[in-house]
Amino acid sequence: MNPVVAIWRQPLVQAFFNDPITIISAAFLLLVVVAAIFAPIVVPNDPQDQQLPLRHLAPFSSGTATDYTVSPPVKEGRFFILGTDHLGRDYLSRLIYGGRISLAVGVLGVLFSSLIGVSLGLVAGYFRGTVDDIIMRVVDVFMSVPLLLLALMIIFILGPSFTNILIVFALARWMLFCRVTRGMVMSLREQAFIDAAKALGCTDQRIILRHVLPNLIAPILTLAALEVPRNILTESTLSFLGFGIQPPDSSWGLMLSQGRQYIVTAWWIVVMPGVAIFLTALSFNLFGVWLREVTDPLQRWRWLKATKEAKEAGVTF
Amino acid sequence: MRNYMIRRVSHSVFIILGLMALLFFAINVLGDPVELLLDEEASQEVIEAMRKKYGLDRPIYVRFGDFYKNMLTGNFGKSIRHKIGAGGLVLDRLPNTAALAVVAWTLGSIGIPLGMLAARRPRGIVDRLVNLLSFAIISVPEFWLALMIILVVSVQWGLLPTSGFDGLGPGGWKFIILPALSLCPRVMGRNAQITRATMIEEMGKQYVATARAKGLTENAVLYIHVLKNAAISIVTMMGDELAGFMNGATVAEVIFGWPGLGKLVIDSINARDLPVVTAAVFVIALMVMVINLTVDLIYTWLDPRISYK
Repeated sequence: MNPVVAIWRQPLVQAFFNDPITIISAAFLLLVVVAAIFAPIVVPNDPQDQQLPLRHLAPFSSGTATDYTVSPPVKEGRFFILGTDHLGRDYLSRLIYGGRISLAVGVLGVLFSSLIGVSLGLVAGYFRGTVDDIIMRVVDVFMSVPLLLLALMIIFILGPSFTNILIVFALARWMLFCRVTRGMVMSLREQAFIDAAKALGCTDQRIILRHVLPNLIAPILTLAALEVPRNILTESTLSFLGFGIQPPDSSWGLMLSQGRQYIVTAWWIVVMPGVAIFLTALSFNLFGVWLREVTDPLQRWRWLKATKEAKEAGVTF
Repeated sequence: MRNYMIRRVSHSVFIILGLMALLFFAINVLGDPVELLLDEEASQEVIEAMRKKYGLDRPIYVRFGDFYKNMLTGNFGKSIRHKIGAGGLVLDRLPNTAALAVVAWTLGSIGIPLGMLAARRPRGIVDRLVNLLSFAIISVPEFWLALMIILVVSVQWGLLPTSGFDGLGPGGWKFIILPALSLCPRVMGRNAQITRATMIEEMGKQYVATARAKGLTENAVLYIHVLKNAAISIVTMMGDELAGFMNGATVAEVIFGWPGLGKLVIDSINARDLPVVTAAVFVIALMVMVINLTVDLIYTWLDPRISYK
């Protein structure tokens, strides 16, 4: 069979192209991620460039900016798709750069928390005994305070900065990954293929890395996809409370909280970052839940079109 | 059952003691309590005086012993900002947080029937709608929603006060509506999702086929058999949500000026009021523990197979 056709017929690919909502959310995520990665290339204007005479321009307006970096200053016409902020900076460019930090916090935070959680969960679930007891007691301790309080405590002690926010997410969210991993490892290790690997003389390390871990990838990825929006939202809350990203850096959450005072005079300053957070979080959530359902053999069929065989067998969709 | 409760409670007590030890070491080893108490510009003499005043010049194990002894007697020291006992200050705010939490949480339980409706026909039109809406709701930043509610209900329509607090008596109802409204959508969305997901999962099980085969109506199958088995997950989620509110109402409390625990924590952190922060963490952890214990008790009632030896 033609390899392209073979890929096309994969259940996952089929389930993907059968659902318009999933296609839209994945496309939007791709757009946001590409914009964030290539921010210096795609931004229409310098996000730090202040043009005070052009402040609070509404979306889709143009103005004459003055470039003072060259002598004598040069005047040039500019078009502002999303308007300008209170210092006359191009809002679309700021939104793209803010998205860079928001996405980085979301994705890197999940990366670190899943690294800690999955490794501890593998150890706890595979070896059981005292190690398991100790790890699970630590999980219980961390779970006994609500997320935001834990985050505030860590920021209180370490001080707010980009790195410390990543530490917050690593320390405040690893328990979830640890619990899920441990649960799955505990059921996997009882299965015959692990016994077979043991009988063949595999070391524990090899069994964990080559036989147990690959079985965990789908559920962990799903959990990760659902954790990213949570981190982005928590970061925006922390920034709003003044414990998150600090100026001159900017994230969507910070832009939102800075725009609060202009809510009546310049609505786009509050609405745009809010919409950016909302659409990104929504896309991650929808994509994550789609991933969860199509990787579950008991639920995948609902996402596939009825096959000829199924129709003949009388299965209704 | 009694033995189980004793074991469960002692386990929780152990966890809170562990949490407080973690907090103590985080403050004293990772950070420096004097730095947390003072501004960065404080002179060396002030720092030394502060160290002496709060007994921070003593060895760490002595302070750790003191910290535990005081904690067990409920003495967290005096609030630096308010000059009164930190424990009392926190307990004063507790009913306000609890009231807001219960109102928002009750409104949020509307999500359960929505999830039940969606689960009737997975991937049907109602299901897709509820799914999309519930995800939309949990993807909105909380404070943004709160600001929009203020903008529309208070500023545009002038219906309710933008913020404030007037006691928990009958006169105070005006002030609780907006913060509760800004908090409940998230809970509603999560409740709808968990109800939908667990009911759909349960519907794939054998006993559902049996129930249908013996001729029960679809409603009886769904709302008697499936719902009861899905209830464990739903109760777990609702417990988590309520526990989250013990502190998670922070944003709403700050925006609406509601004098609860969340606002107290933020104000105390900003004022570097270490005793109040410590006392608040302790009380919040205690509340979370009580909620989790209650959820465990409800489990035994929902599913008698869960035996506690």
